Amino acid sequence: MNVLEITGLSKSFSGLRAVNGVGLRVAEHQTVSIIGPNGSGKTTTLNLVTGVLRPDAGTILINGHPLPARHPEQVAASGILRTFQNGRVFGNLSVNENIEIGTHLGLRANRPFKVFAAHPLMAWLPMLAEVLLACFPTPAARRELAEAQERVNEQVNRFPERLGPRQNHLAHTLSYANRRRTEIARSLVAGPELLVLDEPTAGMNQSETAEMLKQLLELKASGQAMLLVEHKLDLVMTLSDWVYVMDGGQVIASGPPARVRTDPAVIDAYLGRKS
Amino acid sequence: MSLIELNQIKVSYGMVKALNGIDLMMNSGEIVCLLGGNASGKSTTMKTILGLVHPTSGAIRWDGHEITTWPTPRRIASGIASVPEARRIFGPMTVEENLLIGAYTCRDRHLIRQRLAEQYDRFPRLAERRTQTAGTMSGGEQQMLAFARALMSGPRLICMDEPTMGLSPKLVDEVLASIADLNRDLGITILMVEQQAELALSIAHRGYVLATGDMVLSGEAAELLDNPRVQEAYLGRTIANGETE
Amino acid sequence: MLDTIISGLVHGNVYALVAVGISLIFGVTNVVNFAQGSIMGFGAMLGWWYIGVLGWPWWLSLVAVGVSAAVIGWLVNLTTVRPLIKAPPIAALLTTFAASMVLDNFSQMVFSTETRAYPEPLPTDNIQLAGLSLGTSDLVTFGFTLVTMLALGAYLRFGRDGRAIRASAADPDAAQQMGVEVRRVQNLSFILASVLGGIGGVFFGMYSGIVTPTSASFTGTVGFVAAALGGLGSISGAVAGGLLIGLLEALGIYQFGGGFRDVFIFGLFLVVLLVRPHGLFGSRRTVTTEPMTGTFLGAGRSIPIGKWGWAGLGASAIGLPFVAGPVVASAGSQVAIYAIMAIPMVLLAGSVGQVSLGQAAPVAIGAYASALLTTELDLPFAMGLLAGGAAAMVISTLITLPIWRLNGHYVSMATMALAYVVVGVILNWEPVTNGAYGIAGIPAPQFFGTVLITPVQHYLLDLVIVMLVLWVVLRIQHSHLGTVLAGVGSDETASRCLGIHTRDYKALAYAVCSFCAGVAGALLAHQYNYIDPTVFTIQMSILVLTIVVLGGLNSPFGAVIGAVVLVGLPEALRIANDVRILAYGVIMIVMIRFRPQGLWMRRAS
Repeated sequence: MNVLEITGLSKSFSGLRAVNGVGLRVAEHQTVSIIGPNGSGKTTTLNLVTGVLRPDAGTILINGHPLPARHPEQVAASGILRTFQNGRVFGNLSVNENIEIGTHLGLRANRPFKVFAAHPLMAWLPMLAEVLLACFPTPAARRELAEAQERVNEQVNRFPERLGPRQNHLAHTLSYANRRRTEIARSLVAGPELLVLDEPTAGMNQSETAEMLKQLLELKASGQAMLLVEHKLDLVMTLSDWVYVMDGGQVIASGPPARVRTDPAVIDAYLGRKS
Repeated sequence: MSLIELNQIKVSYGMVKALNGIDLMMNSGEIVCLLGGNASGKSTTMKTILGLVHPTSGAIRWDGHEITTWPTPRRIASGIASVPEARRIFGPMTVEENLLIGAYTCRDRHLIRQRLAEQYDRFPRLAERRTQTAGTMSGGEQQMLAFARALMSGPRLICMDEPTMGLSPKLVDEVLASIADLNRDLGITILMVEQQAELALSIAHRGYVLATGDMVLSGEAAELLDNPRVQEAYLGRTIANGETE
Repeated sequence: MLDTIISGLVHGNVYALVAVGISLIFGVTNVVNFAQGSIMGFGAMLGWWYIGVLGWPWWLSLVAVGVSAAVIGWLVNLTTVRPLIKAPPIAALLTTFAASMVLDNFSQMVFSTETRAYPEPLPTDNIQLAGLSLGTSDLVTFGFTLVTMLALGAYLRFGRDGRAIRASAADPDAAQQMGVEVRRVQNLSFILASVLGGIGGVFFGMYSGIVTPTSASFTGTVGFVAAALGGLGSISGAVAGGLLIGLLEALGIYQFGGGFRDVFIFGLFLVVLLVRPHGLFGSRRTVTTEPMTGTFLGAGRSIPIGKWGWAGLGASAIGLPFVAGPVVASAGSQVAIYAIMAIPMVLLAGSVGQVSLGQAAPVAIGAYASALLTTELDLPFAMGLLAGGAAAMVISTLITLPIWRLNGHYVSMATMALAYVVVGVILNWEPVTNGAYGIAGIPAPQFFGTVLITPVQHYLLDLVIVMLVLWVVLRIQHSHLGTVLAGVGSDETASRCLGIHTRDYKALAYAVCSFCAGVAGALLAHQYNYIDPTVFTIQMSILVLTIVVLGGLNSPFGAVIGAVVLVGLPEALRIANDVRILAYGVIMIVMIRFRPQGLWMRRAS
């Protein structure tokens, strides 16, 4: 069963073909990486998968089904959660609150009628219900929020030395690396079927990168499916089950890491002579 | 005589001290590499040289002049150029317009035309694309444009902030090679900030290591590569330096 | 008919001049300069003074107006935009808006609010062409616009500084590193824009024949419609938008009569913002990439009050009128009604980071709904109050529904337009609203047969509602919903990628504000016994906003303090109205510059 399967995905920006007929698959429990030169369409592909951009053509199946409307909200609701290249945390909220927002998707008692949220006019119903519950929480709603807070703590404990002492710090005061950790915790708390990571170690030094690799390997061992874009080759090769190489908006090679590494087309376009 | 000299430079952003009195010196024709972890003061040092940040104390001497209080345009006109972090080309403008902005501080039309021709000679790829919108070019071409744009002001010193950031392994090699070329062929002095220490030191003559606003180490590139303290400082392994917020 | 088209195009020229300035500044600073319309208004009045009072020739006056406007524009940039260039754009949006209030009122104080006959330096009716009558003045307007637009286009394309303007627009930091003095470039764009605006003002005076400070500045506001229609940031789009608005306005008036002008123009504006926010000629990218979040404006936490603090404050608020008497009580009612409008704004302007410039709209809807229901249908007061809130919420939110997928100044402009449209509809829908005559004989508040007549009774009723609103808003702020709202304001894309329907939550924050505004409007109606459209001015909207900015965008209690300072004090000190508005503007600028977290907030550590 494939968590994600895309075929023939294309997107142009003012005439420039950023992504051109890309196909890729992520199976359950698999870690898949996309590598490629700058401007080869890696991040655009992630943006298309997560609904941030709309594709011009192509199909995206999540767990074998297409999505009726490809808005980021629906993609998230179908179990694909992502992080961003430059660590987009909610700066005016604490680490705890940041991660709490990740629990929003799974709330039931606090979000009655949430099935109507997608309809522009029917959305009144869940919205007013949420206001009422904020003022007069039912016992079930209280219980659910307490449970959510426990799950938030679990995620903080994934990075005990890093996020633990900073649970109540506002996120804009965090270091770059801690923002990335908060972002990952925020996505994981939603219980994603597929975690999409856009350059999770960009701007990290070597020791921080090594630490991140360790965390990601643990996640992988726990069976989490992941799709990542990354430049640091060592990390990609250690972590991935399957690697796609993109150049000029197209997939030019794919395979297990060892095979991709020696592919002449990949060496020519991406790795260069030295590797 | 040294081309540029930073003497006991102190910089703070409000209450936060970014540089606590650093010394740095570059001779004409050198490639010097500035290393250090997150928030060590590398970028601040660059900005101080470019005049984007002004030191609270200390002095900068450039080519025999005291330039500590000079504004950025004057420094650029006198031969200091910048290749900003992440290239930062002007995406909506054409290649040629980007180059002309590089020569903004120069008012001699004849000289500008001559420099433009030089860049097109050096980077024929840019000549082919002179009317193309810069934002639609590939990553490698944009990097090329960022270099050419810096050269348009006729610099003797180019400050490069992480020129290989976010580039593929192949492009990293190419960019480093072209930095070495600029230095060798045109005799331009180059100061670069880099995260990838080994790669940067492989083309540099000398290097400095910064940690939380102090210059902790300096020396020949080869020496630094072997120095265990470089590893430590660059990797930010010490808890006190690495994870301050 | 052809006459209508020609006159439309002449009007359109003026709009184009203002719109080009707005687009130019937006391109360079990413700020919608709300003061642009006021600069045009000021230019019109200065023109009247130079030509009519001082008797200067028209060309010299144009030059003089250009120079004066340049100075004003430079000052506006210096005081309101430049200090905030690193702050989130919402800050500069508020300060330019404040600058426009200051300019408008300054203009009213200097030139007085009298209607002035504009001198006719050039004949307006001397050319007969194929059955059309034109004037030299029209030709000068046309010619000037044409020449300046061509010159401006060429300058931006080929000029050294023009190129620097575009480079600064694309990436100010990188431009600075190339030796471009970005500050100078920004000054330059403000000066260019202001010169165009000021001269546009003179042309406005020349064709309309009469001016007041407000009429001219209002015409400048139409320039926004033109800029948005053309697509913010697009110079050619601004010209086309200006001409198009001029034409549509002329045809609209020809068809429906002048009374519908506001409804027509701002209704059109709303439709454009809702349907095609990037305008007819703008690129979609400027809309989606615009990073407009309220994260760091008012970053900080409310100063806690504590149980005993609340009890003490509540007791003294209740006790106040018995000690201080009915005069203070009626001032207190005013304070309370504004507090009811302002408190929920912390959810909108604070949490989700969207600025409504048109809260007078839901206030008016609430007031009229409750007044009509209680007078025409004899509904009891309590029902009218709730129905007023509900009507304000439903109508305002439904009309603005599509705007909530956008952010920042698009929201601000749409809410401002809504205020004009609502008041315009009330003025024109005579069979129901009684038009300009208003509604008289609205029953005083009453519960179960007890009629509340005295100021003290009104005050106590308002106070109870203030406390209710405070309680609800504090509950929301400290609930999961409050966290979600703050997340939406902090980073919309990240929120959406966590499955949050950000549009709904922004609309929700606005709906809560509108409901409260509607209730406040209903209270107002029943306590005055009489309402007419002139009550619900743009000043009312401005005041609500200034109150929250002063108190602190994230502090509900701060909004109460803001209301006391801005409504209570001037009332108690009997300060004249124009001085008040001038002061509101200055306070807003000073607060955002020096204490963005507001009075009742601690800076985030």
